Amino acid sequence: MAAGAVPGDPSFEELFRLHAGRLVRLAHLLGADDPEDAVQEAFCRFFVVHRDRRPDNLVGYLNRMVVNEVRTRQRRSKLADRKRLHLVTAPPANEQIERDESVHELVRALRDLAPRQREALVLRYWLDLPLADIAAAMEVRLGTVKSLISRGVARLGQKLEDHR
Amino acid sequence: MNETETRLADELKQEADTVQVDLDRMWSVVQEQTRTSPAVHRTARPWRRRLAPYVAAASVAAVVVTVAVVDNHDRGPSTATQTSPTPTPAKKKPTKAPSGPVDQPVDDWACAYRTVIQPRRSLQTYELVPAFVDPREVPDEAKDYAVPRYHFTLNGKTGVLDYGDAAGRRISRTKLTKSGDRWRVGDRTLCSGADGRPSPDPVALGKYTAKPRPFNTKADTVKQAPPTGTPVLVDDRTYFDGTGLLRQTTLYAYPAKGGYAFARVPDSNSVWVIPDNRLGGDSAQVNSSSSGPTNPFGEHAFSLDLIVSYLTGDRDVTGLRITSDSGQPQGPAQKLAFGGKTLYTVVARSKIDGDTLVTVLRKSGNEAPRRY
Repeated sequence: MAAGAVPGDPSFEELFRLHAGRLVRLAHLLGADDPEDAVQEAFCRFFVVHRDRRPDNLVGYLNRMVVNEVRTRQRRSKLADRKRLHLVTAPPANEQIERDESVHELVRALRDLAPRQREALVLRYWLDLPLADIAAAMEVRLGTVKSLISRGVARLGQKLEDHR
Repeated sequence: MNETETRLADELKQEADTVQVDLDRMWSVVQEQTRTSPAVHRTARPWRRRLAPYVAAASVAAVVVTVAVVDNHDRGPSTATQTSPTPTPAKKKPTKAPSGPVDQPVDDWACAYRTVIQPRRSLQTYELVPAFVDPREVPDEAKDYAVPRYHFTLNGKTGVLDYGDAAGRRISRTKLTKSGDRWRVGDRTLCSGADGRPSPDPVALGKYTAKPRPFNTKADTVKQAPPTGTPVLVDDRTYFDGTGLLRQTTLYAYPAKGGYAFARVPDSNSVWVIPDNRLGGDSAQVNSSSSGPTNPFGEHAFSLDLIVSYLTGDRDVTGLRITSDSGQPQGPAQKLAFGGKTLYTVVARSKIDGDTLVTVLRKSGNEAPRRY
């Protein structure tokens, strides 16, 4: 029987409490609309798939799950946007303005980058991950990561220059 | 780091620090979702992948499966087999059921509809996992699934492995490629419902195709959440497993402590208690065989369509509505009397992740749709 993530499963709860906060912030920086929900979903998937065994590189695996979850949601959201009007109510206009003003200039510029560039930059400059770990989290080659970071930084630098 | 990089790192840190995380609330949600309704979090590909880790001992599975096969053949061919567009040989009277897979040539296809599947993929990398067979031996998979007949046809560096039903008709054909002194398993064409669906009659929720299998109070899963009232028959149908064999599965819902649960016959390996007034469901994990390296198609257990359910005594609720973002047709809905309450069920046929929307309909105003 699947007992679920009950308090009697300390390893899973410990794992959750240890990593969930960081992963929510990661999802937020990656642009998830609902970072907590994305991380909850990732942990639910993790629980079902790995209830009996844990992957070797646990942290890397969790990073990858969240990156994939956010990516999937964004893709789905884009598709949905193409097909129909928004079902989800957008925040009031004044709230949107307040949010934008609180965001720093480069972080705001980050939103305009291609999703993969954004992922690479967040994993590199926020999580401070080595390039190999970024490649694993994004499931791309090392060279691709270097290229994404290099081009992403260049684009951000350009945007800063344009802004000055 | 140059100026841009330094500044980006600082801003990312500041931005991340603004995020407040309610870990207790999140943990409650995770607990609830993993305990009460894991099915509704399962999505197309992961959902199928999760069917893999079945733990039924192979010997037990073989017994269960053998019973299913004998029973299926007693009931005659399915709708699919009756409408075969290709001429099939006159139905041979099944002889005495063999005790295990026998190596004999198989005849033409037993079914009208077929689909093509690939060997299982790694859960980590999603790469195809190499699987091999030895033509000098009975395939382990054939033994595990109690396939009545198998036959290798080899030609140089390529070959095929045919599986046949008890009447000798082909139920699947698997491509083989020689790799050293072994034969690597490739794509498999096997019997299916129309459009490659697992069931010959995938929308027959509540319309029984045969005599349903009786509810088994002694099943291991049922013992884990014992019934506190009378079980209700929700569904009964035939489906094709990963070898192409036709099987039967019956689904019951029954009241249990804390809510209600679904139980499949033959037994599935898990049960979850779903509270009232909450969307839950049965993910139709009906494969009774294990899916180790000997079963390269074990993950193609052909889960039936997801059944989403809602039990309530609230008269404000009038039903469930199921729709699809992609415009794909969804399955039927039904309403069942359930110990003074009402159990609503709908069938999600779309296999696209997040494509299905289920709405609880209320007289006072419908609830927000939930996405599956």
